[in-house]
Amino acid sequence: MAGPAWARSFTDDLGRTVEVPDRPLRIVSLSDTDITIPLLELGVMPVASHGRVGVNGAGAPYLRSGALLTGVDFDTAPIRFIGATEVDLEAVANERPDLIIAEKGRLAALETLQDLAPTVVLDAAGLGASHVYSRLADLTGQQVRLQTLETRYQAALQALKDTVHPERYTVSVIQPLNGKISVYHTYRALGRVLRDAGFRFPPLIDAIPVGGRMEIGAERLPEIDADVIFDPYRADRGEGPRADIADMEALVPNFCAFLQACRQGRYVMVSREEAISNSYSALFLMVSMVQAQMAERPRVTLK
Amino acid sequence: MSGYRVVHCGPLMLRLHKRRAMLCLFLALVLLMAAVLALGAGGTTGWSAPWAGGQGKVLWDLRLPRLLLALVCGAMLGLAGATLQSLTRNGLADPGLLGVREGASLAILVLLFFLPTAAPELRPLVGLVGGVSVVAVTVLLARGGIERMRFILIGIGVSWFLSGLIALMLVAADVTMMQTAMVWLAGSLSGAAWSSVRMAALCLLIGGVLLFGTARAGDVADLGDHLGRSLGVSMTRLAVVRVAAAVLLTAGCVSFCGRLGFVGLIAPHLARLSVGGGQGALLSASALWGAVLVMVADTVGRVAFAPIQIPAGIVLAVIGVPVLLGLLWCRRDRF
Amino acid sequence: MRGLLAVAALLLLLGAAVAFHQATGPRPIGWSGLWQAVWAFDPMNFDHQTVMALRLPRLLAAFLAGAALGMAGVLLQSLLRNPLGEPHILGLNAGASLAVVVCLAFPLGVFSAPLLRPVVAATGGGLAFLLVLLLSSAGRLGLTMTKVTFCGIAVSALASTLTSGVLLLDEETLATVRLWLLGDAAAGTWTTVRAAAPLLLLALLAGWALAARLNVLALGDALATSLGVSLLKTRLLGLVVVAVLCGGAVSMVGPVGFIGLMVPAMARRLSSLDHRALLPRAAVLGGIMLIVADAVARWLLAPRELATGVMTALVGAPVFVLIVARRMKE
Repeated sequence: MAGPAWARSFTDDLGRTVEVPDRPLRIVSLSDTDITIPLLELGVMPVASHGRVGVNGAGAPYLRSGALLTGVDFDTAPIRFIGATEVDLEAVANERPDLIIAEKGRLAALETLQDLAPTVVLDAAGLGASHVYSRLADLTGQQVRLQTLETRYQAALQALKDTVHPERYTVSVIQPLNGKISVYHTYRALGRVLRDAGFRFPPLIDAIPVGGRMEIGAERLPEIDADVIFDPYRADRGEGPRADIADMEALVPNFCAFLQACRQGRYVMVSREEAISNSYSALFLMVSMVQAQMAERPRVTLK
Repeated sequence: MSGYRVVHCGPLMLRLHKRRAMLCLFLALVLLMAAVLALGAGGTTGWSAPWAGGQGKVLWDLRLPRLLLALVCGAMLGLAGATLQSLTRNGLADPGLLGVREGASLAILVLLFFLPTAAPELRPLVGLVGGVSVVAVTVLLARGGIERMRFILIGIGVSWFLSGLIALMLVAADVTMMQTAMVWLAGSLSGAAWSSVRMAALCLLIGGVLLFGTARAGDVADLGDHLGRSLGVSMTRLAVVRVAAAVLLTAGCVSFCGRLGFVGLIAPHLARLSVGGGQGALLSASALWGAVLVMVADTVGRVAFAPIQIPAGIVLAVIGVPVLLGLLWCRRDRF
Repeated sequence: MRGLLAVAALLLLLGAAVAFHQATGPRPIGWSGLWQAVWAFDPMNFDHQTVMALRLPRLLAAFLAGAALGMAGVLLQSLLRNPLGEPHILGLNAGASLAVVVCLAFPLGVFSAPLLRPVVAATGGGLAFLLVLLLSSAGRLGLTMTKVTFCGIAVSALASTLTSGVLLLDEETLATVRLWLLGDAAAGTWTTVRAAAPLLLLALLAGWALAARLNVLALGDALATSLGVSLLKTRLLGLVVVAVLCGGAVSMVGPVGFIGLMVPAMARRLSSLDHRALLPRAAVLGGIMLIVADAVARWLLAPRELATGVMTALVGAPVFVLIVARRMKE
């Protein structure tokens, strides 16, 4: 489909060299959080995207965090839903794409996809969101837009640094998980803001390989204590932070008393839907959230 | 010769049972018609006659190879299941029992996790190596050759050990990666391409030739070890050839479309119920029934909730329960 | 005399296992710390909470679940006269996990409450097991070792495929139950232990109470009937007890496999074949094994904690092979 007059070579994250159109017009995205949301932020509307269907929801497909962070979802924009865990290849073909973008973790039938349209694979989990953004900007010719987003993020980050002095504080992001505690080297957008700003982490978390995750026993709770602790609670059930706090309490009764952060009221519940995204909107949200949480506060002073 | 007819074809001589041959032919015709229907079934576009044209790329690049792969893999599993059930004289034997499935799965998962850039053509090869080496280990552990039950049960133990290792890998993996692996483990045909169809057909051809070539000897073997031996059949050699064929078929199938369960278990029963007869008829009918089952499961999973795709293995499990229950009840005295 | 020695050895082993579990805990707490935690509990002291709220319920969950699975193994093997009778092999674990996962993924009102989890798990396991038994006892030959094993494998495969079907659609639930699905003693908190323990203790006692009947059953069907033991009633009672034992165990620590396979084989060496002695010893031995497996799972790749069930599978599967290799030679 791609005529040689307007095609160029692109080397994707699997090291494959693919002939891609100079200005792709009909992009199909195979991963909502890792590809579709970034594309939307770069001002590019894919014609179709992978999405999700909740088991307990009304059954309507949605882009994870789509409406929340970009205002775009299947019911508000002309994006076709092409399947959840496994993508419907015929639906992809019906969109007559001129470029298919896949994420390494959701890789399926690469050979067949390549027969339908030029297909590039990006490694979001391994190489990080900023890498994916720059590759996507390159593919779609939206470098200027990306530059704007990045400048805004850096400015926000600088403001955070000026307000808080990150190097003075330790932080950690934890999540209760069935009798264990789940910790990440970098917890998506939230983790990226914390690392980019220059906060310090407990040694246990720094020891996790970059991009990795680990489950630890609840006995190690003091080892992940910090000046501020963030707990991304599960928001898709309508139970809110209460369920997560109850899980922590079931894990260690009185857990709050054993964490310096919690005793000082700095155990912060963050919506997982916002914290888990890789988008710039999430980064902006996280920067202001961190700034608001950690900025100096007035106290009662006894005369 | 009660119902049999001998067909001469050059140096070859074929002994056909007229009624059973007709039944198989009828089954094949039904399969063909179903295949044409499935070929026209589109998830988001609805049904349209495959000969009407207008959807060339979808039909030729997506639906046809996928359909053919479903047929070929179904036939492979049917053959492997029928062979294992006669070898073990147990109607509950399934191709997964020898540990082949777990061995091939583990090998391919290692490939998927650690070398995601590797060419997909490598997968069947890696899967075969994994499956065959597990059977080799099983044979070593079982020593004293293939003494039916011992061999199978040791195979079960080995496959449990391998499932432990697979679980260990999945625990450490990323959630997205784990879901991808789970789709694949559940058995899905979405990766079908012409290259995989060609390789799967080659596997089927080799396995089929080995099995049909030994079908007559297999009939004799079914009479029992002593009788078979006295009729001049080398039981050990026969068992080795047939197990090897079953391993090849199962490992091949796992590498192309993951772990499709129940086909190898159900297809031979459906074959016995519908056609009956000796090894030759059983193998042909099992292959046909296997092909029908996988094709139906894959088409239902592809079309029913489109664009949401249900892996064929999960549809098979849902179809499999009532069929299995009914079959086992009908044939309760025969296994 | 020999019996006394065996009991003493078992108790010693149990003590050693508890000590090992205690010593491999990630937080170093001395014996004096333990003593104080028990006798002078201070809820604001993390060491005390570690002992009382983390280690004790985890230890109890591991012990109770191990005991339940060990006894269930002996019961199954005696009831079915099958050395390969094991809850994991017979579909109980897969059925129980399916029931629990379905209740977690779909909001099913009261059934999704943690307090009912043992009952849900026991029901799921029981149904799967019933299916296995119905399938394998149909036909003239009745329950044979291979038939039961094969049916168990088929039903397990079915249930676990359906489980993955549910989890494929629901990524967050998958992330939540991922470790639990492999069997994980860390999930044992006071809430789960409290919900399951009464039911389990009752079932353990009921299992022990069946010992005399099982002894008669071991003499053969004909002799047992002539001695006035109802075969059907004994089997039925025994199987209900097994379902409750396994369901309770699954609700606390998830589907841990192979304890029921390894334990009876060992317990038979430690004890006479009299079920009155065999059953409690198997229970204690099962508890010991699961405690050790859990300790190893959290110590092997520390600070990362592995799932307990992976450990038992990696040790249990070779034991299965050994049993088969030895049995089938005779």
